[in-house]
Amino acid sequence: MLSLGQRFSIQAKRCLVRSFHSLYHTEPPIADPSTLENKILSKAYTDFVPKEGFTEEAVNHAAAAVGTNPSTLGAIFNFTTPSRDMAMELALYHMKFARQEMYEQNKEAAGKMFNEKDRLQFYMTKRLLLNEPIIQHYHQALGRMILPSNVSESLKELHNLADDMSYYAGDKSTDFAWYSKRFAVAGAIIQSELFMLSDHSKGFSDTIQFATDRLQEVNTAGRIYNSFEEWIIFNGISTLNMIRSQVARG
Amino acid sequence: MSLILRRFASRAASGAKYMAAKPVNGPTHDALSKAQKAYLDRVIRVDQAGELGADLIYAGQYVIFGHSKELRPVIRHMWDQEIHHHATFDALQKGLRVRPSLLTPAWKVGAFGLGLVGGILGKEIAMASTEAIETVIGGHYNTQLRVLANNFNDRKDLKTGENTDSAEIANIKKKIATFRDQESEHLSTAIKYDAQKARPHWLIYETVKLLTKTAVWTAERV
Repeated sequence: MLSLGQRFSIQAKRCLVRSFHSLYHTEPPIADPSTLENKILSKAYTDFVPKEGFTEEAVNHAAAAVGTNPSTLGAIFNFTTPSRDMAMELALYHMKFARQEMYEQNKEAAGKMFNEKDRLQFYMTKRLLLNEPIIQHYHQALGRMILPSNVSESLKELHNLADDMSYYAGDKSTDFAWYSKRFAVAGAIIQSELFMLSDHSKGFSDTIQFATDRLQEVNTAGRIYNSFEEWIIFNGISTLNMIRSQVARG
Repeated sequence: MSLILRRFASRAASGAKYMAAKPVNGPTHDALSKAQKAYLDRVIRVDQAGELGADLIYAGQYVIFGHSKELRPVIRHMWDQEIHHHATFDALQKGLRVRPSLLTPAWKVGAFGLGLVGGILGKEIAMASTEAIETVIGGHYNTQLRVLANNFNDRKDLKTGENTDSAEIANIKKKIATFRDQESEHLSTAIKYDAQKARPHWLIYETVKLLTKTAVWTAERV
């Protein structure tokens, strides 16, 4: 029999979408380096992906390099990951690591900016540039992530990325706009990453321009919505006041 | 009137007023367990949706009773408190990165409609629904306080090594306790203003109670 706490933790492990971000309690790092599988993936990501791509071989070589017998990898990944797929976990590791670095490397610079739009654009650019070291193999990772069996994990990670970007940019939405914003930002991320795959411009300046344009569209859509809301409220107030004045006149 | 319609389009104000001050030297306590986080996530989501609902229910009632000499100050007082509760949970939701309820648009329309219809049906019926809602919410807040008191006292202070509440948890507890007291004050106000003279009282009371409980159950999850 499992204790209630154990059952809770097993249930909670399945849910990978971030919930409740505490400021007073320590939060584990996004790409937690203390677990064995992350040690292997981190080694594979830094040392083997640039040569071998997002493949099982890269993970196998990394396992050998950190002193784990590669034949035990199946056991390690079958029990600790929902995908049970080493190449997928390697792709996810890239997503998590890059998401973590996007904030850690740039929080000071972003803190000096005054508006949400600039910060969002800034984080987006920095996040895309973090794909640079592995860009020639990135199509493998994306292909792995959109396999039907992996797509739910990938969407969670995409949500986490869009959520991090919006939050650190200073999002203030408290109602349905919260969802619209993250959905729109996630769309901009996907489009920009696909654009980046075939971008040969120097320093990925075309991709950055493309991403800036997409975020500009998100911004415009938000402004249209807010103006529309204001217009509706204004007209509601004036209509009611007009009716009241007519009623008062008798 | 503009005051009422503006309540539909709330934006989170600066959270600093409502949240525990940001810790200067980083976290003070060890990590919350996943179950504890999941619980807090749920608490803040359902309370935000609930206070949004309460805010708009009183807005709906104010449309009708804003012209009554007797009821205007009473409703206004309760409404102002709900606006404060709503702003608090908006700030907590934004600052602690909790997902708001997906059904927020439905809560807005439903709550405003409930307040408006109750108001049109008359003072007694409006007060009876307030009585039902505040009864459910009082119990709901008490449950949350009980869990926060019993299941969150195993978090270690990183400096002293003792199990204490972090300022964050203490702040959430304090806010919920204050709001619980104010909601029960609304309950006695509703009874004072003839809630129990509504006919048929049992039907209105039980229906609104059931509605509120269903909404709470849903907002915790969706």
